[in-house]
Amino acid sequence: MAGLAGAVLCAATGFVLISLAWPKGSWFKSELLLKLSLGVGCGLGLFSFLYLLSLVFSVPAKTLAATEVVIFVLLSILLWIRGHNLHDQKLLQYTADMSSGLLGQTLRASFVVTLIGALHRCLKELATNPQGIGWDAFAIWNLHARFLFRGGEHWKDGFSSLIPWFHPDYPLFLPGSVAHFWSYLGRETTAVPATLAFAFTFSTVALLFSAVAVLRGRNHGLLAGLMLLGTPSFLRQGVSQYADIPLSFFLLAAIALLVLADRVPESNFSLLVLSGFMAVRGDAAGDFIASRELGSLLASNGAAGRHDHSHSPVNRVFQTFGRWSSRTILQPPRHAAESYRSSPILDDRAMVSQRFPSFWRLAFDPRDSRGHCLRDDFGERHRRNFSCR
Amino acid sequence: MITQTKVRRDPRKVLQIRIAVAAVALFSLLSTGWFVFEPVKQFQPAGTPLPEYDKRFEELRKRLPPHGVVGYLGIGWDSGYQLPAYYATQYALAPVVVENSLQPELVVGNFATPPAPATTTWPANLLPIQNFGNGVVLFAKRHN
Repeated sequence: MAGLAGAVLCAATGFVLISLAWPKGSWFKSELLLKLSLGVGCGLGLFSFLYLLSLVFSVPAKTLAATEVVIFVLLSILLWIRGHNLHDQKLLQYTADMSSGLLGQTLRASFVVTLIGALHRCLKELATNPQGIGWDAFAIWNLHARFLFRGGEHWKDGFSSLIPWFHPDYPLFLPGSVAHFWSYLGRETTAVPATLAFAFTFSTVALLFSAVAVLRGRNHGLLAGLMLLGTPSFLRQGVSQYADIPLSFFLLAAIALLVLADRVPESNFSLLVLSGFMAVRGDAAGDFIASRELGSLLASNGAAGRHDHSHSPVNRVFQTFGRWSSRTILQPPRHAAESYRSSPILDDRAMVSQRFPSFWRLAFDPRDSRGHCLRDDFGERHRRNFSCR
Repeated sequence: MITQTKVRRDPRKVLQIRIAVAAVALFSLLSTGWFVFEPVKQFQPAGTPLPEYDKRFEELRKRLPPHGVVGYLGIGWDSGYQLPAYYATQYALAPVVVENSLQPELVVGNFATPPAPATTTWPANLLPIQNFGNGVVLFAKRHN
């Protein structure tokens, strides 16, 4: 129950934040799906950040929960004040030429069938492997989460250079989110990372569908969503609990908000700021922002008759930030990279034989009954002969 | 607010668009169908499902200090499982840091098959403290 309440509070806070940043003139219900899908990422980002702050300043879990409720209430009051007396009007109104008819119905039916199939398969996969599939899920993200949750005052032990494969330089957004919900529940459960993986996978689909639908019409949105849902590697990555899907979510959110900001020039500042937050959450987004493509994307949108952003101060700031961040923030700390390269785990046979010669002889260099040495390291015979010396 | 108006297209282009969209829908459905009926496999990084592997270390976790560094000794694992077994051990024992060496004062022995106490010769520089009976043994460093 506490977990569910926490999830609802997190999503609601994200939604309120997104609604606050939404251009004036639109109100609660307009672009609801787009705001909801953006709100999932935004809420998780905020809660993860607050959780990490609570660890740094040793704030108890109950105080943190109370703070989050207060933040939600304050943001809701702000939204109510801001949105008072506003009409329910949409940000963009696009009348597509295929909004109805046979093709529109075919698209809608295909989308629904694909969505049901994808939901069924992903839930089945997550029920079988709630701790994730593959290395990154358990050896990096959920392990980070365990260090944060179980570590208490010693949560920083997870950044030890003794376990360099653990990637201490990786962002703590996902582990922080997982550990935060564990702290709500007061115990560890694999349901949390599984639910987060599910939320990010289908939020990405919802975000793509709703963003394209707002910008180009519903059928285009359905087509985009259908293509994404019909890509098994995307769904497989999502349920495997790798960070690629949250990253793609934030990249997509940053792009969608940038394009929206360009379409609504009279109130694009808040959307640009929001886009910047999304890009910061998506770790490698700085590289993308630095690229010329984004400048040309803005320029091509501006070419519709309003203004060319490619040389605008905002675009220059983005490009400068992107170049700087790709050189500094996004590079792992030098000591982490060096400790990884010199990691004994990369060649533990060499490490064991050099650093512990007596153990090496005992474990991997045993002799058979005739005194002949068995040198096929890690082989079947070693296991049989481990006890004979 | 921006309102965009309808775009009138050439009927031949409309047909081409419809065929292309129908093809995308068809291939997406086929792709999803193939994905839905693909068998679901359980993830077993070290030859056993992760929750089971986690349980092996439950008793040991109670014996270990709440934080600190312990060593690691993995014996008898197939070469493909040697490293995954170590990673999964770190996962099970977090927030204790498991160093892949025999340097720390306490060393976790992780045997693929439970060692028989009567016939097993332990490493000379390690003193067994407790054999948990499921392939997990806690060692202390022997000081000469």
